[in-house]
Amino acid sequence: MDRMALYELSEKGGVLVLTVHTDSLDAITVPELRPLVDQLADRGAIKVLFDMGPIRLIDSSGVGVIVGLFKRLRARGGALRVCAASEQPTAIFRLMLLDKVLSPFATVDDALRGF
Amino acid sequence: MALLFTARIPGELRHRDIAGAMVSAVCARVEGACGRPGLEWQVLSAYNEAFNNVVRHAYAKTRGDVEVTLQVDDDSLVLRLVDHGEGFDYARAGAHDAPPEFDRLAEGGMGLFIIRKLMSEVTYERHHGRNHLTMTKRFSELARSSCAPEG
Repeated sequence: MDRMALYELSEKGGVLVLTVHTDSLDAITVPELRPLVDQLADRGAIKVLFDMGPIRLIDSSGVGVIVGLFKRLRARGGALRVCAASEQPTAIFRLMLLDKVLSPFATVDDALRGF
Repeated sequence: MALLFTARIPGELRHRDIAGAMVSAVCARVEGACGRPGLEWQVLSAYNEAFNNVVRHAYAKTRGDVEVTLQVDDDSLVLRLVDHGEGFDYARAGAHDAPPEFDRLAEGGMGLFIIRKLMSEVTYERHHGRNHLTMTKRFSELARSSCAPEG
């Protein structure tokens, strides 16, 4: 049986939209995502939108990969936005005080507006 | 009357979700029965972080099992993970009450902070070469949903 790709990368108006097809962004799935994150970070001055819609649970590894990508892109003139975070990821961002930095958007369209 | 659920699984990430399914199922039932929204994801998140730490730190150089115990009482739930890997300095590792500033935030090392923020009480003990991490969630700290009768 074919296994669904872990992620999908598309381009909308000059923004790379990354959608992860897993309900968990955690210590188990992050290693599979790491090569892509490194590739995106190495491209530097790009805009990336992380569509978190399918993610039900995030752990500190998942938070770490988002924070790491945010910082690496910002340092090279790029930017990262996140959107469609469900209850648990939103709460984890809030308790880490990351909601103020990442400013999660409600939807893909909201996040793309003015990006 | 307390309900007790236990599982013993290998201390490897690929096995984490086996006991995680037990934690999730029990907490979802309690959440529904007690009308305490958020209980399932909060306890499951704490479990995942605790298990990750066992694999990364306690069993970094050795291998062993993790015993997961979930005790449900009338007003609280106690989740305990026991392993026989390396011990750690809990006071130092979990001393911070606030997250690091964003610019100092590393990609790792946030697990214990998340556990302490989500659970009501967290204690670490080392007995006879075993690490015991005990996490208590008091239901009174969760909002009561409208499906449960008041007072």
